Amino acid sequence: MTDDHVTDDRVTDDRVTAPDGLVTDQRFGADELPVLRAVVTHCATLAGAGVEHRDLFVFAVHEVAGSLVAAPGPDVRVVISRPDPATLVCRITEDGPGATDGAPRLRWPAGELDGALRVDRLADRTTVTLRLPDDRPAGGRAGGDRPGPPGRRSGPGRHGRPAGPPRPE
Amino acid sequence: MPTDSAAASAHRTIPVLRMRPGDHAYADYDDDEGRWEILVAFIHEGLARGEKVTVMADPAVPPADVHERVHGHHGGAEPALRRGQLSYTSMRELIAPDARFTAARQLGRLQEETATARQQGYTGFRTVIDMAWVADLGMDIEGVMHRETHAHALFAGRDYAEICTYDRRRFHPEVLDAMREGHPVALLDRLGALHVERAEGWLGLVGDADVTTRAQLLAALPAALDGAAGGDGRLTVDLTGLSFLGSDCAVSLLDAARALPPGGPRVEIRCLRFHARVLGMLGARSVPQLTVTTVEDA
Repeated sequence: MTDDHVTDDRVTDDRVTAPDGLVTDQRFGADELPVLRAVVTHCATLAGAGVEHRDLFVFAVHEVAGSLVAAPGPDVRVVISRPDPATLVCRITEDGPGATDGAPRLRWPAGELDGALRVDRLADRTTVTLRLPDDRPAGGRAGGDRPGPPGRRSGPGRHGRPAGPPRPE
Repeated sequence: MPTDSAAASAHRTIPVLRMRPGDHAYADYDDDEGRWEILVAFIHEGLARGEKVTVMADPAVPPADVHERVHGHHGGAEPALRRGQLSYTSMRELIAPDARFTAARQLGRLQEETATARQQGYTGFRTVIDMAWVADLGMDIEGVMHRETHAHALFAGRDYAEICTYDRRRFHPEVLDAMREGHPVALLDRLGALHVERAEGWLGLVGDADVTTRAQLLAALPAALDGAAGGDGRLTVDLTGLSFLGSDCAVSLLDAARALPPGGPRVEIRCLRFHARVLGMLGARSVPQLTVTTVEDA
């Protein structure tokens, strides 16, 4: 399943560096897969993915992470990044041999994701990288953070400050 | 075939990620993990969908602590807070300058906020309200119940959604039962939970069907299939309430259907489009006793 469709890989032999556009970098255990799915769902929606592509991406991330945390070893590290507004990359790393070899349940999402799935094995580390393809028509790709409504007011306050809804104008 | 009441009952319970504008949901918790898990998922789902989100958490929890929980999910909360898409307030602030809660005042304010959100270009407005405000404002529970069961107009336009979260340690069980019944939908209490419901010839799954919940599915399938064999020979497996179907549970479903004897019960799986893709990828079309019917998401 190893291929080279992902071109900006930053896996080195002893670490995973923080990629550009880092969204989140967390560790997940087997009992935290639902939280991981929720995080990926929200990131994919923010990246503008259509429902089918989003669901496929979430499914693929779940299957990869599930197969890795099912293997003996510590939690998996999940790094989600958006190197550009319309691209979402999820890198899942496990310090162990991993359990992804030949798993048919991974071949299907890999194919559906247009080959944007890559497995790297280095000694005692397995890293799987998935890239969410852009499924939007060319005219709709000027994405970014979920675009703010035109004329939107600035935020109500600093981090953590209570900020009641504004009074009607 | 499912009875109407069974189908309706199963669909009254939904996972938080299937909440949509127009939903008014009951949720409860009895520990900190449960308290934040549903709240945080609901908030981020709203932000990702381009809705405006207001959080009225337990007044005893400082807003900075609430935000830390929300932001810790992933990085999306901070920019949303800065641009005004996300805010933290309290019931006390919402109804100000009134000091006394009335349903009319609260509903009126929420309608105003919904209209403002739409005018600002958001796709909708959602709030999550920890019912700890009831004690904070010295409100009687009858008044709260009246509000909960007379708020239909707020949701009729399908541009507002709300979760009312109840701490099971603070409310009497009878009150919680009544509140659950008083809401159009109730949420599964944890992310990743699976709710299984059976009726004659019908098995409904709501929530997440993955490796951690597969035991529940495996426990329910034999009796459901036996029931179908003793009935009209058909079993409908309703997956339309699922927010996630992993390969483990999908394979279990296919294996169960594949093991049926020739001339035995037939199984119809009703599911969303993507789950049909998963089942198809795993070989559903090669199972003679099985039909997969795609249902569009509401």
